[in-house]
Amino acid sequence: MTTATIDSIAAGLAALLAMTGATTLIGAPLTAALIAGLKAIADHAAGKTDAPTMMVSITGLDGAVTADNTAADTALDAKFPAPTTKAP
Amino acid sequence: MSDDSATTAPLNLPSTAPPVKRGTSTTEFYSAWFVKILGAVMASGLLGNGEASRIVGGLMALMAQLGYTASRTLVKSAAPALAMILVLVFGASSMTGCGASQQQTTLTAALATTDAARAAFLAYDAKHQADIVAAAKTKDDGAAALAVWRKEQDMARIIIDSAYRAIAAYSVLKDDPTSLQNLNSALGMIVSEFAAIGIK
Repeated sequence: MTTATIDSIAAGLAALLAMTGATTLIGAPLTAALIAGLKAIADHAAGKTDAPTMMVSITGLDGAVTADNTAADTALDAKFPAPTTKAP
Repeated sequence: MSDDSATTAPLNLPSTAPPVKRGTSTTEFYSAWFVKILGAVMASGLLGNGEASRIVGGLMALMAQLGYTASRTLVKSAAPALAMILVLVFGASSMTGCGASQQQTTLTAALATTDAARAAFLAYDAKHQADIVAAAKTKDDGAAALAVWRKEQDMARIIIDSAYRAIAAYSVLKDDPTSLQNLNSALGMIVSEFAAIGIK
């Protein structure tokens, strides 16, 4: 393991520690984020991912943009409802 | 991108969040102060002269402050960004380096820009999709127009995700000039994409 990897693992652990403190204080579910963060660090330590990938996973930035398309789909369905067929 | 997004989604506050309470009326305020005072006492050596005890005390005080600051920022701004933790953690860890202040400023500015771009895009996206539905003459026309827009939407999402990734890269590869170039490039792509879409 290279010095750079060790440095980035230390940075990842520091970020995870800060995340843990913040999420605990705001009462957010901690376990899933903690496990995902540890997994991201373990993946990086094993050489499966690079440091930036580890960091975006720890901080949750990889899911930062989640547009809501359901509202528009629902509105379109409501505007043009499917024709109903009468029972014979 | 990793496939952990489902479990590590940012801590978005719900749109129906209650009014923000004053910091002094929250449990978090007092619990953070308790930990900070305990940490300060430990760091001062009053509870023992061990070096480890003093370091742990200092870290406790630091982490309590970081956590409290992060939580209040989230509550006040309804921002999605636990990203600010990157700034706090790496700003603190880079303070020993030459040019650390400049790096901290760069990270902070890049995060603020990207967060603002994300918020602007999501607001525009919701309104634009509603406009498409309102203007649709038939269901097929509406669905087709939405499909066209969602290709742009995907591109914007990829670009904003790339910017966050560039920020993360810069935070751990501060001394690598390529990471700063990539960061600038990613932010430039946001500007270009938004101009192409029509978001001002």
